[in-house]
Amino acid sequence: MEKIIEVKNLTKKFKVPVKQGFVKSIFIPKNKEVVAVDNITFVVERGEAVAFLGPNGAGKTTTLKMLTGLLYPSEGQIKVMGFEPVKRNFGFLKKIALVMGNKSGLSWDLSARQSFDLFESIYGLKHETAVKTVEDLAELLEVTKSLDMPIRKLSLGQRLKMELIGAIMHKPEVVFLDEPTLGLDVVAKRNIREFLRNTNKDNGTTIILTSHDMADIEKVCDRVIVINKGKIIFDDAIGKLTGRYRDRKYLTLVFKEEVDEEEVAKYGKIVDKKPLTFTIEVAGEDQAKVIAAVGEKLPIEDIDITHVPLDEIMADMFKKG
Amino acid sequence: MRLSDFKQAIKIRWKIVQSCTIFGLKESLAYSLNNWGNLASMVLYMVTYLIFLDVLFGKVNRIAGYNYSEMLFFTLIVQINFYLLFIFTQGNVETLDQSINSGELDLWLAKPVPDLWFVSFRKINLGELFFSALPATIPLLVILSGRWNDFKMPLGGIIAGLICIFLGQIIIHCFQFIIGMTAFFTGEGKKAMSMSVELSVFGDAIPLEGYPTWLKYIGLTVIPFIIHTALAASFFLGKNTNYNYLWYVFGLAIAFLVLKVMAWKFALRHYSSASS
Repeated sequence: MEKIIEVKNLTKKFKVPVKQGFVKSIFIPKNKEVVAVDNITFVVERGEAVAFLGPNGAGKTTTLKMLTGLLYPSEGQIKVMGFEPVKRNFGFLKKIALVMGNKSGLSWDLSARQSFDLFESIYGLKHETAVKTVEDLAELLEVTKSLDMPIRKLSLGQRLKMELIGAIMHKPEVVFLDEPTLGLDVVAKRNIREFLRNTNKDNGTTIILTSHDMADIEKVCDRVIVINKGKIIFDDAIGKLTGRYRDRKYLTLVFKEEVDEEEVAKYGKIVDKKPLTFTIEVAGEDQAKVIAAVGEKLPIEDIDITHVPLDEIMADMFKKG
Repeated sequence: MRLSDFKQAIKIRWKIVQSCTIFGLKESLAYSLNNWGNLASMVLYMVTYLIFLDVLFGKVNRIAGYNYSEMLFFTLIVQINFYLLFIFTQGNVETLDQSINSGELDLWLAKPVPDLWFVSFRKINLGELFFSALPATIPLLVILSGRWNDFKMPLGGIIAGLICIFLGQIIIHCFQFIIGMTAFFTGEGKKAMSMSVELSVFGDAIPLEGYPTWLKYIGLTVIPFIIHTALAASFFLGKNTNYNYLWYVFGLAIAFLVLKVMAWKFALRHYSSASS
């Protein structure tokens, strides 16, 4: 498979001011160096959908911004489709798209369609092709009726869909998305995830995504790169990540009546509790025994067995990292 | 660079200016009440200023060697330059500052456009021409209409004056942009921008001949507030016939353009982008 992104020993350092007295900070400012991305190396092949995952401040967005040429690396090399992103070659910029969940590239005062007219000129698209592409994408995202409304009057979900349309109307080969479902409701998130998944599978578009929402990662991406404190601590398929925790199971116990927490704790570590419901963590090999014991000794209504959720896996990794 | 590449580069830039002009016009028409309010304000300002000039010249015959009609013509040159700056420069510098502060610049930098050209002409506010510039200039033109014979405009002076306005606008545009780029390092540059605007219009009430020599030198060099207004008016009215100045102005325009490009490249290299 063709390597579309190659990153080698990439590092990014920022200078941040050191807290001092008021007068000193004006006349003798002091800075300290913060390493946001610390010597990371990875490769992405054409057509992959890769997620960057990590806690706040891990370096995910900084990495994304270096891949799109917005930030200069302090050290290391980046090649995206054979281009060095910081050189901002037109050939490179025409083949990528950037969507940032909390930033807008559309005019607040005009309709999305009017902003798309401007993008059409910028990308040098034929008018008929651009119009058809926009109509098709709007239909897929169910926002056709909102194309001519001012952006300021759209809901957050509709606005983000318009941002997506504006970003990919020129049919880029690589789409970079930074928190694309931030602040959206469940239905809007589902629509966008489906859309991104289909764009990746049907068009072969390479997707690079950062998100805190595990469902974004699970539903859209096949591979996850986990970054913590600027370093890569995991880089493989999502299945391999969850596979590491296959020996643990979560049992969600729904009771017919109130049960003492101490009674439930005898069977496993309590990870969540709600009225009449406890979720406990047990070793995979013990799950049958525990289920039998709980069914016998406690007034059980229902039991649900799940793998360890991805967000718990992440929390565990970040704690160790 | 090959000729075909050069032609393509010109074509892209022209397309950007065209598209952004149409886009800017649509944006300025989006809130029509704003435009009418602005028009009233600008017309009132102009009328007040003309009354002031009338009162002033009721007491004196000349100011810095300019009679009343010449002073009105000087005011017309200042007015034209003010609105050219407002339409082509100020909105873009403000937008650059806002986009650096909010992080929206990231989305523009990821588009296949010549980035400096795009941020320089992203907001061409032609609405200002129709809703502010023309209406506010009408009272001035009405008073001037009966006074064109009160001053002479040699052909050489007219050409030199037009060149000064064109090159002076380039210089002052670069000046405002360079100051506006401090936002890359400070995160926000409203005050710096406001200062650059004030400096740009510093020469709006004083003809070239009224400046002390030291201030004239400053206005013709590091803080170029004289070139597009006072120097241009001086050429138009035949008060200055030293056309060698134009070579200097041309060189200064090139120098400021080079400085602007260098400042932009330096700023981008150190751009840290707003956090998500």
